[in-house]
Amino acid sequence: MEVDKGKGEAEETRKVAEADRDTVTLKSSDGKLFEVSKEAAARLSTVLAGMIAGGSIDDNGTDLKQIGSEALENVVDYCNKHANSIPSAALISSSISFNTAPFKEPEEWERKFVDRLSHDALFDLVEAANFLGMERLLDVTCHKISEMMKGKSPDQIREVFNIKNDYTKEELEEIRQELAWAFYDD
Amino acid sequence: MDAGGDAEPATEPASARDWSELPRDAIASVFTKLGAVETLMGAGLVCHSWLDAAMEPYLWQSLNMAHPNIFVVKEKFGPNKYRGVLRAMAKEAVDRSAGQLLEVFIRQGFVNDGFLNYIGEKAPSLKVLGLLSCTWMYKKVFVKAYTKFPLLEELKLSAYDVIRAKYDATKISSSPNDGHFLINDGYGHYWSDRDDWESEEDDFDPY
Repeated sequence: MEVDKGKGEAEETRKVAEADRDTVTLKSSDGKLFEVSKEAAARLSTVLAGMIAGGSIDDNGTDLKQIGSEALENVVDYCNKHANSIPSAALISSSISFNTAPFKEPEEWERKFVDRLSHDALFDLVEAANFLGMERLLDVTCHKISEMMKGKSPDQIREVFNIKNDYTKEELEEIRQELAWAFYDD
Repeated sequence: MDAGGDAEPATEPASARDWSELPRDAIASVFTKLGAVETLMGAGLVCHSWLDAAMEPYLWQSLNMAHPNIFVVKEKFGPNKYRGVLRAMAKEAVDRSAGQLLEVFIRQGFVNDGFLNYIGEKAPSLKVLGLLSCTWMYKKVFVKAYTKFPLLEELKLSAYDVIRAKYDATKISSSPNDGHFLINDGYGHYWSDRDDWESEEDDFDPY
């Protein structure tokens, strides 16, 4: 996105130059532009990888109409941080040592990255990660959410996330009958 | 936010987003990180959409009821009730897997014969069975394994049970299917065999 230098350059060379750029530009629903490492974007997001491979990246800003600027900034920030971080030796969570697909615990920087987010920003980032097919970011954000729920009753979780108890009295009774432990002390 | 717009109190909500609308894959991912017990008694009960997501059979293909986090049940329900609650939870988890249960890890303290039979009935494709500190039980499993768990590939036991179990297995070798599963140490150093669960012999009370 610099001033035009090669005045009479052929269209062909321009295209090659674009393809060689090591960043891509993404545009949020509210029209803000963000640069992200092409390598990291392709590695971390199946959707962006598909767009890059399919040539549907727009140099003036690829439209991501579903994602607001705050969430997109976080996505881009995450990708760029990831591009610069050296993955540490596998820290396999002891809590799921049996699972067939062990979840690699968040790295220190990933922890810090999600810890600073407000509830709303976390929610928006989960939606963005889900939309962009970013498995790792989804894992890290969902890990954070699970930590916010740990040891809490349904009522306490509703309070933390401001969720309405949308069961009718009859439904509650039905659940209590089927699941003897449910709403034990609610 | 909803139709009618009933006057809500002016207190600032913790979040302006509707968390019950969290993408289904995301809430499922949260559940797998919380584990079976917390999903069954906490997060999975919060609202209609989360309860619905918690019914997804694939979430229950791998069931870990041996993890220390099941201790919360003992804290919450007390020494007289918790075994029954854990069995009821494990049964519910097996039901939710809808026949897709592939691996289950259970432990001394709440597992009984009836529960093993239940798994045998509801989880015909079980591949891995882990029994923590169930010394008194593994012989029963050998006998059952040939009929109830035809696809069993691996029996995971506490370290100190493995050698004995391997020896015992050679003595129960009349079956033509003998040796169709491996016996391994499935608990490694993460698992203390001498934790604060009072030891118990057979426990046959119903769910």
